Amino acid sequence: MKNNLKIANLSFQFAKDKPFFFHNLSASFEAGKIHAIYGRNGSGKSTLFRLLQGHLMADDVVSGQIQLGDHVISISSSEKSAFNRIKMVSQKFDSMLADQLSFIENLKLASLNEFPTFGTLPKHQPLPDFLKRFDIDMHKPVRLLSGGQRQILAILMVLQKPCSVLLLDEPTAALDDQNAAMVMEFVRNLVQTMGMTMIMICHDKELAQRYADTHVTMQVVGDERRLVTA
Amino acid sequence: MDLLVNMIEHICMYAPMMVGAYISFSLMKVPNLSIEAAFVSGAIAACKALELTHDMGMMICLPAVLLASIVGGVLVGVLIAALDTYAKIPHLLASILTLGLCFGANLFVLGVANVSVTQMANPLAILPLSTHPELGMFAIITLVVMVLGFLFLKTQLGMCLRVYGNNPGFFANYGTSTAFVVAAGLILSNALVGLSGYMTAQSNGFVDINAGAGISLYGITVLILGKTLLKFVKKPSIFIPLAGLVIYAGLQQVLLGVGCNMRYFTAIQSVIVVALLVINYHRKSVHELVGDHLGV
Repeated sequence: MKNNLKIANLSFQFAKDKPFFFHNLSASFEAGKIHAIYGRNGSGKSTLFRLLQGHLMADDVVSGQIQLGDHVISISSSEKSAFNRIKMVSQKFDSMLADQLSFIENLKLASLNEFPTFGTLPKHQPLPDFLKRFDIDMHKPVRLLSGGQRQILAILMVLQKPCSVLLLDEPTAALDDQNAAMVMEFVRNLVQTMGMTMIMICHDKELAQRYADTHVTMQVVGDERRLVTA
Repeated sequence: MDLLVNMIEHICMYAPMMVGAYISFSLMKVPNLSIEAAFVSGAIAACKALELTHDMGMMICLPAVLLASIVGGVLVGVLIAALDTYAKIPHLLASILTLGLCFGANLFVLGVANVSVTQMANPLAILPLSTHPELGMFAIITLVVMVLGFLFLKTQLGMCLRVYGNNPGFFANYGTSTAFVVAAGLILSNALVGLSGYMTAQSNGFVDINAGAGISLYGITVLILGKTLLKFVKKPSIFIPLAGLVIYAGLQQVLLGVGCNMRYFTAIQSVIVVALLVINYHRKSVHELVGDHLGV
C-alpha cells in the first residue's frame, strides 16, 4: 500500500565521536493500522520520531533509508520536502494550538501556505463524518474545550496538509481516562477512514492493548537499540 | 474650540503610529523599540523626497513624500526583521541594535541634527481646516489607515500576527514560515510609524534627529490606556489604540491648558503606565495581561 512505512538499516550517532545510538535498525509499519511503541524513558522512541521527520541537528551522523509506499527517502536527506508526508503531534499538543481562536479558525490557520497573504483565511479540509460523535463546539475558543477535544484538534490540524504517516508522541499522557478513550476512539476511526499509518509512543499499555493493532518495544541491550515485537 | 482642534490634530498625527505600535507591541507582543528609529527615518526620507519634488506640483509631491515616509519606516523594519529572523538576535537586542544603527544612518542622511521644511511647499496643506493647514489631509490619512487597519486584522497575515503573539512556535508545526510572519509584522508596523514621523515633522515645521526619543513609551502608554478603557473588547480591534489615543490627547491638552510643562510629560506617561498596571493588577484583571509579556 502507498502508506506502508519501512525503515531499513537506520544507523545514528549524536556526533562522530559518540557511539551508535541506533545501529542497522529496521522495522516495518503497515498502513491502516495503529502501531504502539513502548520503551522506558531515554530508550530512543522520540529520537526515532525526530529522524523519521528529517529533523537533523548539526552534529548528527545518520544513514539508512525509509520507504514510504514505493518512494524511498535517504534518511540523511537534507531535502525537507522528502519528509513532508510524515507528520507528528507532540506530547505537548497545546503548544500546537492558537487557544484564543475557535476550532474552525485553528483548522484554517493550519491550512495556510508558507507565506500568508492579505487575503482571507483559506478553507479547511472537509472534516470526517465521525467527528460529530465527539460533541465538539466548533465556534468556542479552543481554551474552553476539554483536553481530549484539543488533542483531536491538534491531530486534525496536522492533517490539513497531505499525510501518509502520523506519529503520535504519548497522545494520552496529559488526559484523564475518559478523554484518553475519546482520543483513541477518534484515532482508530481516523486510521480506518483515511488508511494512513499511525505510530504512537505509549506508556499506558492497557489503553494501547485496547486500541493498537501491533505492539513493539524499543529495547536497549548494551549500547544497541532494537525494536522487538511484543 | 482650539483645544478640540489641537486634540484632533494630535490624534490624526499619531494614529498611523499607534496602529503600527499596536501591531508589534500588542498583536505580536514584540518589544519593538525600533519604532523610535522608524519615526525619524520616515521623516527624513519624506524630507528628502520633498526637497526633490516640492516644485513639481502637488500631484507628484504629495504621493512622493507619503511613499518616501513609508519607505523610510520599511527600511528600519527590514533591518530589525533581518537581525531578528536571519541573524537570530532576540527581539529586544535586535531593537536596540537597530536604534543604534539607524541613528548613525539618519544623521548621515540628514547631515545635521535639525532641518527646517518650512521653506518648501507643504504638500499636506491642500485641505486646511480652521487655523491648521494640515488638518484636512491628516484626517484623510488617518481615516484610510484606520479602515485598512480594521480590514487587515481579518486577513491571513493579521490573524497570523495575532497567533504569533500568543504562541510564537505555532507556525513551525504547519509549514508556515514564522520568519516571514515576524518580518511582515515588523515591516508593516515600522512603515506606519514612518508615516506618522513625517506628519509630525511637517506639522512642527522641521525634522529632528531626536524626534523619535520617547515614542516607544508614548505608544505603550496609549495602548495600556486603550486596553484598560476597552477591557470588554476581547478580540483584537483597531479601536483599542484609537481609544487610548483619544484619551491621551485629551489628557495632554488638559495638562497643557493648566500650564503643565511639556518637559515633564515623559515622567507623567510613566506614572500613567505604572498607575494603570497597578490598578489592573489589584482589580484581578491581571489574568488578561499574564500572557501579555509587555502588558500592552
